[in-house]
Amino acid sequence: MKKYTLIIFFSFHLILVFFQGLNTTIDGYWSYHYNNIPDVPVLRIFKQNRFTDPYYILTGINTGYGFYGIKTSSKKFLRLTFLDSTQNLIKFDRYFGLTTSNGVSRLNGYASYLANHIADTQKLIEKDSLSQKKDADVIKFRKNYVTKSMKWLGKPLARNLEECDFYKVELLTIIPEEVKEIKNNSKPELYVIQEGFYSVQ
Amino acid sequence: MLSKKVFTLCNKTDKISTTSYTKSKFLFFFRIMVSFIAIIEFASLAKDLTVLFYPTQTILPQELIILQSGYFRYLYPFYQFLKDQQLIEYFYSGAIYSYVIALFFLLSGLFTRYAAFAALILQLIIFKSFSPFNYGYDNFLTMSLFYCVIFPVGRYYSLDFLIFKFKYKIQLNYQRVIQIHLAIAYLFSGVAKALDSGWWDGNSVWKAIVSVDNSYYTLSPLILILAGIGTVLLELSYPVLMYFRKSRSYALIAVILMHSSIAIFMGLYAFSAIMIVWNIAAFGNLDSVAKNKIIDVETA
Repeated sequence: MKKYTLIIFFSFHLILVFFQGLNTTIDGYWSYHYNNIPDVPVLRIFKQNRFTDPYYILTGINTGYGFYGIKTSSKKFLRLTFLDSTQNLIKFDRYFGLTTSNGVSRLNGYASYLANHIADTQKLIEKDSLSQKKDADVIKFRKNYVTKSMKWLGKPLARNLEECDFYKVELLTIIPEEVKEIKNNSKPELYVIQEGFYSVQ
Repeated sequence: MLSKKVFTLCNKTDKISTTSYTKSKFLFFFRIMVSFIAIIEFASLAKDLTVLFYPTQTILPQELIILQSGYFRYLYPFYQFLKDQQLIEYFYSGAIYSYVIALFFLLSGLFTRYAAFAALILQLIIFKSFSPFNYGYDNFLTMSLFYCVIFPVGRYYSLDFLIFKFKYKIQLNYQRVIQIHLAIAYLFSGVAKALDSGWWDGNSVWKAIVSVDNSYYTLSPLILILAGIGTVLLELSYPVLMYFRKSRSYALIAVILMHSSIAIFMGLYAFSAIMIVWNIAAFGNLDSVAKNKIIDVETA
């Protein structure tokens, strides 16, 4: 009996894995190309919802399997600039107190997360301008989230630097974004997606 | 009538999921490698844990880290409860030490199922507390620890076996679960990549690997195009290649090479390691590994 219970359990579990993979692939494709998510009733049954959410989290299957698929974006970086009272450069920092390669790799992942967050907010703004600005509060909240996150990212380090009075946090991306645009194997340049200038006080 | 039909269906499924594999070696290999990778990865992050998982002076205030994540509704009440009970000071270091101890218990196979469950819960609490800093490895580790809870991974070559003298007959081919899970993962990964023109013209590979900290931008576009097309084709055809015995060993070598390249070019060492372990556990012949023959797959 235990054997059949296990077979039923794993069959159900793998069906959820399959539909999670299917749903995230369809959602990823549609949201990138059409700026919305399709509403297919059959697929919705197996979609992660607030009732099934704990199971998905506990089993780790609350993820897609795109792995740089649909639309691969170039690497993102965060840079912190320390400035003195006359706003002269003291030094740069890209690691925000992280010292291991594992930690730095995760920080770059966070930079991509912020960049995606900004891009999604931009999509929401475009969508909202067509729908009588229903999402104005959500947009404001999302913008504040990025501004506050960038402010907090630099604050502890800037405070610890005695001569630092101001600091700047930049979210950067690599350009060019197309391989054919690379000229003479020159090192890729960086472009600022968003930046924040803050006072230490 | 209905129960008879369910029983017949179970019998049919059972035939699919039962083979002559050396299941005990699969369970042993999976347990050892998952716990080993988890320990190494956690040790490699140890110096930075105070920046990511600590009561004060983290890289961002913890509420801000989890605010936009799907875990906010679980973690926020949890941390509020700890604050109310004045346990927050002890919790962080307690969670870290308990997690490491649970992983060592899992590695040695002592109270294996309880250790795997404790490791799973603690891994979720620790890593989801800085979820925007998570990546694919963290999810695959959660899945792996979940399978360590469900699979009888502590029944063989373990301290549990030495102490409790289990007489346990494996009832199911658990390896099949990992095989199907991997086939689904690679299929959708292949589909997602095939839908992006960048994977056919080298752009996506270039974007994935190029950084201001390396010199991969000097790679020839031809290499990037071949790598992109090769990845798409391998991932798309993974379920078919792994199903047939003749192509399985070649596909396994190709997948291991692909993940080794990901480790080298993208620096995703832990992710690559856990994917290689899943692939070897699922499709490698662990009997042959023991006899110094790396791949010699038996089943079809």
